[in-house]
Amino acid sequence: MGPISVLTEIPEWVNLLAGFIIGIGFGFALEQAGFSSSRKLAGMFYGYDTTVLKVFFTAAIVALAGSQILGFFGLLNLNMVYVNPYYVGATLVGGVIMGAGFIMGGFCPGTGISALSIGKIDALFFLLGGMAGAFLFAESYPFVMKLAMGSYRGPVKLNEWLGVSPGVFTLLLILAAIGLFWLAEKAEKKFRRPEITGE
Amino acid sequence: MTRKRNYMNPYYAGILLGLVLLAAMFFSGRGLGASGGIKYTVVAAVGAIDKQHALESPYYSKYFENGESPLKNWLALEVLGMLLGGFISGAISGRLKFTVEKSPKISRGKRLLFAFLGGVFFVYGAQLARGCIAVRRSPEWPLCQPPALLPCFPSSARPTCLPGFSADCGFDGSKFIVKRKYNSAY
Repeated sequence: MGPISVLTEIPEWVNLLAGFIIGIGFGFALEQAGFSSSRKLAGMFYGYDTTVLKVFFTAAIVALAGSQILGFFGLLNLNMVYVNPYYVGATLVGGVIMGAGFIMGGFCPGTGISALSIGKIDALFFLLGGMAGAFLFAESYPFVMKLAMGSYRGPVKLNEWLGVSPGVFTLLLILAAIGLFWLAEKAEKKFRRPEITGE
Repeated sequence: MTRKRNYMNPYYAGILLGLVLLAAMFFSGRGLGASGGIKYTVVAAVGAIDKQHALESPYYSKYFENGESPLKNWLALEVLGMLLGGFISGAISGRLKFTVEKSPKISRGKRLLFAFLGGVFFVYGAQLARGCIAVRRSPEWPLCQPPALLPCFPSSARPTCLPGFSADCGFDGSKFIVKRKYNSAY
């Protein structure tokens, strides 16, 4: 029964090795999807390339449905899976800053790592900037702590917030994904830029 | 050199990514991430350069508790794996190349400057929001499960612990201290 590392007595190095192997899968999937190209990623904001939406929503519904099925058959204890704690102000402000960073840099850390792994120098600069940003945050932490720790809501889950069961939420998300995929395909036809997306 | 291959169909790539995410949840009880990996690199660097400052800072000190290295954690190893995974994918697809990807309308220097600044903003925001999209989408974004990970959470004025966890946890008013011990007999 999972999560294996939480519920069984495995040595720490095994969990770390699992993280490494899972990371290989993560990096492989991201690069295969085209997330190593900043112009492809930026296309999400301009409409000519909606790969980001398609990949992440598909991944979300696969993981959601999969975890629900595993939970149903007693193979995964969903109570033991980590949920980020929700701090309202920090999430909102942090989100805006992240958005600005993404459209400026054309990457986020995961895709930046993916691009760096195939030799993109702009990704290297992005990640160096990222390290500077992390350092800036760490050093400014005493000043932003109040914002960072404010309006704590606990590990909030969407289905609880909506007041529906996990199963209903899964269905709603799948329907939303299908609707968004349809819109995405339409947008790509309208704003097409084959010199960027046609690789 | 391998003949250049197209990118994978995004829906197939999404399925692959979803399965990787599921593996992370099933094996390690957590979702995927990347911005945290950058944080750990910085924390380790600061610790190496100025250990005193690291130990005294309210931010850095928690990563050096019990003499532990900040790099000895799941996320840091995962990020290392990402570099290798991306490289393998690039190698089999004929996409390995040192290059600066940019619009023809701007110069290389400008692209690199904006890439750097973008990184500063993005990771700063991600630290504040506690995760970028890879983490926030999973597991708590797609996952809708009953009360989750943290075995201790504040309710009213006192912390409560889920059954099976030791009461070595609490909220001291500014941060969580979770030293959970899972009672495997539960």
